[in-house]
Amino acid sequence: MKTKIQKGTLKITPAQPITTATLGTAAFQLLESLQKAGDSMPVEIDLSNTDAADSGTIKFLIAAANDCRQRGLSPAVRATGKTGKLLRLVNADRHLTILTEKDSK
Amino acid sequence: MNADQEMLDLFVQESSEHLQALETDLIALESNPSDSERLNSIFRSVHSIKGASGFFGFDPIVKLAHVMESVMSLLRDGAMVADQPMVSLLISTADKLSLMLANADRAAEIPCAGEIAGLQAILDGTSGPTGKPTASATPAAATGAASSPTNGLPDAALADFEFDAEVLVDGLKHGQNFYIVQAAVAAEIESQGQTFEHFLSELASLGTVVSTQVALPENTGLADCENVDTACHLFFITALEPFILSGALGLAEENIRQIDSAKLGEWVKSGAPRAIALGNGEPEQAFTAPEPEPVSQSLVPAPSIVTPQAHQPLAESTPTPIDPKPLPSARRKPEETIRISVGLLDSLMNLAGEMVLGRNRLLRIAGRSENGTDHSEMQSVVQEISSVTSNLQDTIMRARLQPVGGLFGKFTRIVRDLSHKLNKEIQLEIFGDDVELDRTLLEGLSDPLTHLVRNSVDHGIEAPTSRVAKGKKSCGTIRLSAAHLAGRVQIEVLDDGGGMDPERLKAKAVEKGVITTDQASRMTDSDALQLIFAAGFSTAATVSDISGRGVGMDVVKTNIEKLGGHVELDSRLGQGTRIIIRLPLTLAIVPALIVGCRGINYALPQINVDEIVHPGEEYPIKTMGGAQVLELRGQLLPVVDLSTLLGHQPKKAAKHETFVVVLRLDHITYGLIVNEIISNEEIVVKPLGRHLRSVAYYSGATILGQGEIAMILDPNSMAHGKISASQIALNSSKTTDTALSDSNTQRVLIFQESEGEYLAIHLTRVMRVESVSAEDIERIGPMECLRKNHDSTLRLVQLSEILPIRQPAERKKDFFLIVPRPPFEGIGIIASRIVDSADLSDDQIDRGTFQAKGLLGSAVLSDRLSLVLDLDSIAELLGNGVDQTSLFAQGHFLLTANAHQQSNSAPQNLKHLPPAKEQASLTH
Repeated sequence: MKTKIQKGTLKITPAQPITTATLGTAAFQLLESLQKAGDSMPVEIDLSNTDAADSGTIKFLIAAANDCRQRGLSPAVRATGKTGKLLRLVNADRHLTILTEKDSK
Repeated sequence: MNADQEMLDLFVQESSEHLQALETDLIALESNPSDSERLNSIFRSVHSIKGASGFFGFDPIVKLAHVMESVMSLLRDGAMVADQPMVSLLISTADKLSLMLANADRAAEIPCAGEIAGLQAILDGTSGPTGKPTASATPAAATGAASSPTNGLPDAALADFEFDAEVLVDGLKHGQNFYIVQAAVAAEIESQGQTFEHFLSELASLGTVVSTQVALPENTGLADCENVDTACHLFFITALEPFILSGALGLAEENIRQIDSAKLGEWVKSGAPRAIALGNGEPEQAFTAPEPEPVSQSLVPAPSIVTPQAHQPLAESTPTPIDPKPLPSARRKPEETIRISVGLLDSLMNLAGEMVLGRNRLLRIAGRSENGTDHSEMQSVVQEISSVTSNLQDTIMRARLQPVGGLFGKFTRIVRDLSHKLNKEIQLEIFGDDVELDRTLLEGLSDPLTHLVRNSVDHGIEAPTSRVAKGKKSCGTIRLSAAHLAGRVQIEVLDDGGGMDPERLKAKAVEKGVITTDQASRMTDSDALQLIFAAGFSTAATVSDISGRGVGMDVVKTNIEKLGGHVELDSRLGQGTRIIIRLPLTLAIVPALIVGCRGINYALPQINVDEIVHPGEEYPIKTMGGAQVLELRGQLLPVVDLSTLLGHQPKKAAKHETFVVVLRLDHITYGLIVNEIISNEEIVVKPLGRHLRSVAYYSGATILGQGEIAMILDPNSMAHGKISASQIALNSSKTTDTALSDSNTQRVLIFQESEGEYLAIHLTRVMRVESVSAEDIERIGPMECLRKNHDSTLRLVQLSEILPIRQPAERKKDFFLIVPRPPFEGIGIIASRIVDSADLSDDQIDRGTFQAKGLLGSAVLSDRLSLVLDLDSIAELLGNGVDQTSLFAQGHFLLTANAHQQSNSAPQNLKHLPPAKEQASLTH
């Protein structure tokens, strides 16, 4: 899981799709990444390059959103394609912000 | 079959059930127009049909159902009361709906303008003056009315969702249903083998997913998210009814909560959605129920919305969950019933049949004693398998049974329509509609029963004026009833109409050349009534479209006989007519007598076997006018030689022993000459292949216990054309003593338990008499039993232990067992001697001198005082211990009265018959 701080936002990019199968590992890695976040820092999980989603993805994002809020961080997810569609379908934007465009870098 | 077709089939099936209920309810409504339960039921049925039709896009059905529903809504609300013309219109509309549903894709071609116009006229005539809104007024039309404005949500659960007012209005307009669906993603969706994404797309294909929410238990973070389930709930609009929806989604009904459409409609009417929307500063049509601001693009922290543990009030920051429940423990509610295709049931029945055949072979193999080998352990296992097989077969057979109520239900409509047409007043009474019958039999029974009911309406029940003139009520009654009787089902059609005139029947029969004048003069009233079963016989003065062509009763009789049943008729002039149909419970497995002819085995349905006679000096076969007859106790029975019938070449060298199996049909009793009596077996009836179907004399085939194939003989077709008219004439006067005889006289069997008292039992209660050796008796505690060669046991009853008669000094080595007919067939009454038979009328029974439970009284029979047994109270004395299932007896020759007739068979014919082929040594 690649983590960097860009323009005041903690940007986290998983190396592989986050699904039910990879949920445990991904959750652990994200917890480690969140250690790097500064106070009230926006956190953006970028799934745009790993477009595969299932209920594990949703669970991961809701849990991540909860963790972020407990730490005073503002969670967002960047998701396109199927992943973005699924997240919009389940109104995941009630938990965290959904960004639907590819990162401009 | 694809999923769409399955759904469509389900829709047609469900709609048919709704229509059936609709018709029954509408007819009942006619006699009680204010029956609110009926009104509600009708409304629900129409609403369901409309909703499901809308889902499949059958607009013409929706249109007709909608206007009918609107009228029902007015009736339900008490805005009007249904009168007879209105009920007729509603019935006619239901008929059109039925036609449309039967041809759903061509529903537009069914003309229903008259029904729609009629119903619309009712609606137009009511909505104005009363000021009540009609059900046809759409919520959209009423939106501006705001008669009872309320901004409160119609259901608190809706607070969780964002939705568009137009979606609601549209759904209400189309009579759709509104649901909150809740499920645990892993435990209730993915556990079914489908992905969450697939579940959502499946849902979207069934209706409109207005809004979806997903949540984890409160404060679940990354560290523990793997161990919890995700809760999903949705606001969903669809035409489907809850049970269909739950089936389609594979969810339990408790996962699906329906929102009250009426409340939702009121809420929409009140303009609340618009008010809320405007209050939130949202665009005019889109609105959000009161809840926290959703997170915007500004990355403001968003709250966790749904918590499975707590029910939060609306005013708080977190919205209300819907019926929260612990996710991990969420389990599907066990289904009480499931639908199974008839094909699968038939297949199970076939397999059970094969198993019975295998069991029979196994029993035969296990029963063989070879070189003194001890087979007792194997026999014990085989008995167990045999018992399980019997239970399995019985259970599957019961699964095929359906209540006759479904069939009886259609006569409500037939009687109603015909009585209106004929200007008669007729009340139809239905009893025993829960009695169950094999579905094949039910299908076969439909046409004959329709003939009978139509005949009763047309010819039976008189016109009201005629009835009143006769001192009867103007309204006639037809009673349709079903009951279990002696292991068979008895269906009865009884009317209190004019009855039949035997003299008129005779005259008509002579006129039509069915009988001669001489035959008519010798014919009893009871015989004359049977004439109506002759082909082409009708006394109706005019041929109507209802009946009178003279084909009905002939067809009825033939069809019932094809089903293995028979018809009885009783009629009293001026009082009414009673027609009784007796049917077996199933046709798939039947008891049969296996006979041999020239080395080949054949099966004869036991229901037709009256007795077996060894012809000789006592019972000679004579030739009269070129035809063979058997002289049997003063009667002359026509005789048919099976080998001649089947065209076996006679072998000069071989000398065959001869038996005559007396076969009783409804119209004739005749003897069938065979060479061997093999055994008695329960056989599995297999239909003949198409190449053999045209061959006469056979009704099917079966596989016997030895593994060989045996053809099943058809007693009816063997008699047909092979027995001359003169033979029938010889026999006819002896075959009309039916169970409906006016006489109170019945034949009794006189026997002795020991050297003491003479005892008498009505032959109608006796299934058979068999010879038993004391060595065969087994004891279980104080009970004596006789284990039969297959899987049945007879409990022996020594009458001296329960009746005040002398105990025998000692039991003979060989004695008789009198086995009663069902429901007492599990017992065998011990008799040391069969004395005689005699006629006994009710008046002859002295009920005062000897009074004891188990006795009807005493009578002088054959110059001796005899005690007449009361089998019902004997069964009570035995402590109701007769288990009809476990003690069912099989495997014995039928010697006395058969199941469907009283018999005049005299007991001097009761012979000691061999229990098995190899022991055959018949007493002459």
